[in-house]
Amino acid sequence: MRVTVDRDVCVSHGQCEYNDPDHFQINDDGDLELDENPPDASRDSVLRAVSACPVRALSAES
Amino acid sequence: MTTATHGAAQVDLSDLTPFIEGREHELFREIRENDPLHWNAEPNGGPGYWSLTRYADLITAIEDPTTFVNGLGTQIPSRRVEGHTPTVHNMDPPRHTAMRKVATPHLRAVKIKEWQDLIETSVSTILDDIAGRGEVELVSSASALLPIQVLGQVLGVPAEDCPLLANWTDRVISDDPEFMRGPDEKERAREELFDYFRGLTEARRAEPRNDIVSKLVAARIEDEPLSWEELAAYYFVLVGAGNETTRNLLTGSVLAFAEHPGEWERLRADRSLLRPAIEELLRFITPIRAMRRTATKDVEWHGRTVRQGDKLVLWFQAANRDPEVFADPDTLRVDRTPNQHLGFGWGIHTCLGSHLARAEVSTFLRQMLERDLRIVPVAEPDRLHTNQFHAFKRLRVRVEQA
Repeated sequence: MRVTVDRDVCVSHGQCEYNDPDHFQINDDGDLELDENPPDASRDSVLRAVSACPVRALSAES
Repeated sequence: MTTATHGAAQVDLSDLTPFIEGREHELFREIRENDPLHWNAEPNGGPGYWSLTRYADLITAIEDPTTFVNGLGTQIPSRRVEGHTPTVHNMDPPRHTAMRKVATPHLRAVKIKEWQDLIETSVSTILDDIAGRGEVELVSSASALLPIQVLGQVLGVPAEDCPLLANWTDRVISDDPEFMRGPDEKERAREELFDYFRGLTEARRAEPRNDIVSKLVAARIEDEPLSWEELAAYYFVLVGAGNETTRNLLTGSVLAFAEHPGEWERLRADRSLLRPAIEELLRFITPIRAMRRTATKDVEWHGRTVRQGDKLVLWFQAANRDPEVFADPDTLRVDRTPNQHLGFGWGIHTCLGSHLARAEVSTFLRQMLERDLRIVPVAEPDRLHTNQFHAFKRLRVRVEQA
C-alpha cells in the first residue's frame, strides 16, 4: 500500500505516530517521517494512523 | 427557518447548576436533537453565543479555521484569562503553526517515553499511599498530584514548587467561588505565574537543561527568538492545560468505572483493552467540555444566520455522545473501536499534550490492575463550578484490594 502526506497541511500532531510508531515518526525538528510503502501486513495500524490525523494530512491507497 | 421545540430553545448552558449536579447530558440531548444551532443569551450583559452539539457540525466548524477563528478567545465569556499575550490556543495560522512546532518535538509520543520512569515512580508512590490509607479524598491525594509532578519535571519546575502550578491553575481556570478571593484573582494568579517563570527563563537561558522551558527559550521562529510575551503565554497554557485535564480524566475514570463496574472486570481479564479503554474514557468523560470560536463572516447554517463577530461554542462533550457516531453513547465500552472521539479536540488546535495525558492515565490504570486495586467512590463528587471544564474538586473514595 502507498501512504502520502500533504506537507502543507501536516503540523506534526503525532496522532499517526501514536497509532503506528513503526511507520510514522515525528523527528527532532518536528517534521513527520513516514514509510510511504508500508507492508500490507501492517494495513490495520497504518489505516488507523491515517484516519487519526486531525488535519487530514495523510492519505492511503492500496 | 428551523424552529426549535419549546424545550430545546429554553435550554440555558450558562446556568451552571446542571453541570454542578452532573445533569448536563439531558440538556445536550435536548438541543442536539431539536436545536442544532442553539442560541444562548449570556449573563452579565454578554453578547450571547451559538452552541453546536452534533459531531458532524463540530467537525465542519473546526475544519474551517479561517471562518471560525480562535484568535478572539476560546473561553465562552468574552475574555482572555491569559491577558493580552498571544497563547498558542488563541492564535491562528501561520503564527500558530510555527509556535506549535516549537513544542511538538518534545511532547511527541516517542519522546514521552523519556518521562515514563518518572510517571511510573509518581504513580507507584501515590498508589502506595492511598492503598495504605483505605478511605481518602482522591483529587488531592492522587488525581491532582500525578499531573503536577509530571508536568513540573517536563517543564523544568523543581518538585518543591509544583504545588504553585496547581494553585495558579485553580485560580485562572474557572470562576468557582472557592478559588476567587477577590475580583482581580485571575490577574493576580497570572502575574504570580509570570513572575515565577521569568526567573526560571533566565536560569535556563544561562544553563539549559532537558526541559520544555529550556527548549522554548532556545527556540527560533524565522531566526527570531520568542518574545517574553510569547514565552509567558506559552507557559501559561502548558501549566493550565497540563493540570486541569489529566486530573479530571483520572477522577472521571474512577467515576466511570463505578458507573460501569463490568467494564473494569473486562479490563482485569484482558489488559490489552487498556489502550482502547483510554480512548473510551476520553470520549465518555471529555475533560474539556467545550471551546469557543468567533465567526469572521456571516454564515447560513441550519436555517439561521451566524453573523460576523458572533461567538460559536463547540461542545465536545455533546458531540462525544452523538448517537449518529457512537452506538449506545451513554454506555462506557472499553473495547469501543473505531472511536474517533473529540476528547482532545480536532483540527489544527488538537491538544498539544495528548501523548503525555495518555501516558499518565494508562500508567495509573495499569498499575491499579497490576496491584488489583479498586477505587470505589463513597460519596457524590464535588464538581468545579464551570460549564467549560468537566472538573472535580473532591471525591471521597475507598481504596480496596480486590
